[in-house]
Amino acid sequence: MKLINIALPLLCALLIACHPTPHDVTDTNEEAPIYPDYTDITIPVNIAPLNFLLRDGADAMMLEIKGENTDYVLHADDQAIFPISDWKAMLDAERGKSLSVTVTSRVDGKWLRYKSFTWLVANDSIDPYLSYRLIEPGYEVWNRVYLRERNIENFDERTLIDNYDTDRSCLNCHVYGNQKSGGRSRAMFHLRGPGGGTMLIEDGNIRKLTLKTDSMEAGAVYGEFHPTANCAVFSSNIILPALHCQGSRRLEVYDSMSDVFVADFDNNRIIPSPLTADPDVFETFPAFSADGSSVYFCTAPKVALPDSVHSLKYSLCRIAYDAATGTWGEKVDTLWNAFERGGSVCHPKVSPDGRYVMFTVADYGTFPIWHRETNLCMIDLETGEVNTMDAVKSDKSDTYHCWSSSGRWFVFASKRGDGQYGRLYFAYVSPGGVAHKPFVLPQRYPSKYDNELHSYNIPNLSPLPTTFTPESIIQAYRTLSPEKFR
Amino acid sequence: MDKITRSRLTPWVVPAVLVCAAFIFFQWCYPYHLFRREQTMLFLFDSEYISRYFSHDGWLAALSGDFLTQFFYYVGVGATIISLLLGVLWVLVWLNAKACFRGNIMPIITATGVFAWEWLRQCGEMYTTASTISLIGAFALLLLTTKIHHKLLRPLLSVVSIALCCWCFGYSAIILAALIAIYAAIKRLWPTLCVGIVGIIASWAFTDDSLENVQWWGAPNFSQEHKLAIDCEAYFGNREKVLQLSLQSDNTRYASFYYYLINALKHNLPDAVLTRMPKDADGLLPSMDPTKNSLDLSALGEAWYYMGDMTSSEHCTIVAMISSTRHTGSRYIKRMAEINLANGDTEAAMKYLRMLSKTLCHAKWAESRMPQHESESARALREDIGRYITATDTVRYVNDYTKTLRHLVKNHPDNDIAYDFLLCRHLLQRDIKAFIEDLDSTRPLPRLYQEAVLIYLSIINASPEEIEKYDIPESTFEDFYNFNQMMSATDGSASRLASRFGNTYWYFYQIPQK
Repeated sequence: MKLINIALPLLCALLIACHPTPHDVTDTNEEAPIYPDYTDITIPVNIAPLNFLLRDGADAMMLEIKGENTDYVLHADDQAIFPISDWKAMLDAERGKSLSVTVTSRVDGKWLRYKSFTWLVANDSIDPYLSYRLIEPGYEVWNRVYLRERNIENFDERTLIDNYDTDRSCLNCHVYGNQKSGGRSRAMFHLRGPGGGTMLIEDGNIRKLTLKTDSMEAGAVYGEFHPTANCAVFSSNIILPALHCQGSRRLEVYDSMSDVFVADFDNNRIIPSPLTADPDVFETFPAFSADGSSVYFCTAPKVALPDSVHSLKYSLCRIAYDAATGTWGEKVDTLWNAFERGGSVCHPKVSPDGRYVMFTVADYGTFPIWHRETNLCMIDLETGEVNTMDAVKSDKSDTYHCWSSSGRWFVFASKRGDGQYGRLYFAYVSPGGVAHKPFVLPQRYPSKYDNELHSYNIPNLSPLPTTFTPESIIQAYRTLSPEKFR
Repeated sequence: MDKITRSRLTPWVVPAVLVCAAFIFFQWCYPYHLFRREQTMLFLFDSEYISRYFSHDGWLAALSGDFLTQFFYYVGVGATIISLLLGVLWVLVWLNAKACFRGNIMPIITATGVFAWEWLRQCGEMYTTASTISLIGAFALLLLTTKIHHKLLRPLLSVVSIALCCWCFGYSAIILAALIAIYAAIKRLWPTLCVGIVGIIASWAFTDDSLENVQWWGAPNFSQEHKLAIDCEAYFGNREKVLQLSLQSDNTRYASFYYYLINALKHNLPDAVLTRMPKDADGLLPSMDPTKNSLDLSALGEAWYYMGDMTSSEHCTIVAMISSTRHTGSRYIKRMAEINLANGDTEAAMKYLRMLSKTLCHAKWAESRMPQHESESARALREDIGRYITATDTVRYVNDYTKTLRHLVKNHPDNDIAYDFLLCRHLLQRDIKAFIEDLDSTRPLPRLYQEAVLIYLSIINASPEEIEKYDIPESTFEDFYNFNQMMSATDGSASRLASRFGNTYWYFYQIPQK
């Protein structure tokens, strides 16, 4: 990579020197055909350069960025790649202010100036560390899977774990996080297959857990840490895949059973509740409230599957949980009734200030990744109002969101664009709860997404980098015996 | 020819003959392995894509190897490139050997030995051109290193050569270090010997990326070549050649599958289905098992593609791609573009077309399929493939083929391919009830279906009115009567029935298959 670090600036300098200056420019009212779509967005002050390319067949471009303290010009071919120091200085100078970006491109020898667009530089930073799973979207199978961590203030990326180092077992999935709470840095993920288990990492110490007792039908799948106590809430699911026949619907995944429970990591104890383990009801996607006093989860009455999958609809519910005594509440509240609203809820995630619950809404089912109608919504727990977040919506699946620790940003996986490969998007949420237009995770080379045959999913934002290395996980995978739970 | 001239010519005649032999072998005896390599790799002319090479050891070998491999797409180019590379290798080994051995014979034998070793390695299905280039790089650097006679410079240059080889050519740095050590031992150059020994250990540690994929040994596998021939000819659209190759094969499942598929495309499946082994439903339409190899999976994807089940076809193609050695491939990307174009999913198709438009060999193909520049022939092909796509949806398990095929036929009763696969699967499973349920008795019945209907009619003891429903010629009735007579007379003797009725469904239905 060192070669790139030297070669790229040199190449950029050379290209700048060679790039022509626009003349006889024709103004057009059209939107600049840039990819990724970075037009009219709100960006964190600490984000990496938003490098982009032009899709109009241009062979040269000039980019003018104007702000209160900025007058920046970049000459390029069809790819605008910002020197990182220039970029950082520009955003620092324009905190809380707006930048106007004008693209002038040369297509077939003629210069065109497109309609300007804006970048609003938010004062609020975003958590700089983003972990995600990189997977080839092979429907229900996998081959190579990585967990990676990216510093989103620049382009540094490192592999946390590569499943080729763990006998190609699936890094499955759904539970991976890094949180700073009570002075502890914690993360966990599941490693499937023989020798696998739930890998729990606390301040660099790795434990391998079997989060399943003899009385449970299935092991832990989706889950989340308690904000302060040493426990986490999980669902146990038996997951089945099936295929659609028509158009681009592709895959349907559903559970044949699912329950919700808490795993106490201090006492290696599974704490179930009859209210979250009803045999006639599916319970899944649990998440703690910001103060840890309750658990949000999704429930749906059982139907015959896969034939009645279209009538499988999950509601958003809440139940109290006392982490000090390990006791569940005695009643379940429904916050979003699937049958009244005609949709199905997945992945509830509570904002760090505890005011909002963000979730995914699909027409039906419990696996929104291939559901194109899927959108993100947010319920205000103070007013009960549901915000459909129109600025965030797309015509493809938007799922697997995660809040930044400040509560001003969130990241989610979306298949907008090609509909096949998931990409990670960030969106700003104003103090009044208004979500802004999202933008995709920037890359050093803007054509990366065009060339990539992996999907990005299960993103997690963290203020700190993870405390484990691939070697430590491989060693734990090979040497540790899984701790049993009772 | 005098002795001097002969000794001067020999070093050039030998490699010339060997290069010609290698060309003939790879061009006419073993071409499909080379086609397959191109189909399972992708080389994009894109700064981001090319930058990926620099993060691995042996980047120069990998980059140039992949650059050359993309041209294997063209007939004859693969064999030319491989044989020329082998020729270059021979010359470099010979030049190096000349520095170690006296006389002409040993250098020629050594060079020919390395040439043969590399030729055999090149017979591996997924052996990379980069591996040969890596070897060439190592021998070129060795030549450079051994040319220096300065006491201090030689060990220093050896270090530089090994390091450069690690970085640019990858795994062959181990060979280079070993050869430097051997050369130094022969010439009693102790500091250089130390460099060589340390170099072996260091290059073993620092070339893990390229070392991971090295195949140290290879040998021709002609049965795999035959399988690849069927696969590649199907990809090239030479259906008659596929049929011919399938018939030459010893009834392997793979050959039989393609034999059935091509016959189905020619609306001839009922006449073909009992002529090959194995006679079972899984041979006709194999189950979708992700642990199968990439060839089998992509073949299954072809069947669904022509039947109009784009979800299953895409599923098989993606799994075939991610199961292939390099998890990519121009062939899979092309198929996925076609699937999504037929499905009307332009955005997904554009993803793949954009990738292909960055290649040298498939850019034209991609351009002719871009929605804004679609050629007439591409449009006709897309519409032809898209005609059986279903208008309604259903959710089914991946291997619930009966539900899938029924859904396809229900949506398009004229989908003869799906219809024949559905009925023939029932018949191979001896499920006469399901066969009758799905049979469209208003269509003309091929002989196989007539025979199955007669079994059904005899099972239910059909009334004359029931029999009237099916248009079955008198001769079939007579044959069925004779078959039953013979069954009773011979007490179901397979050998005696086989001579007269071995190709009938009655025989298949009554006599257990080996």
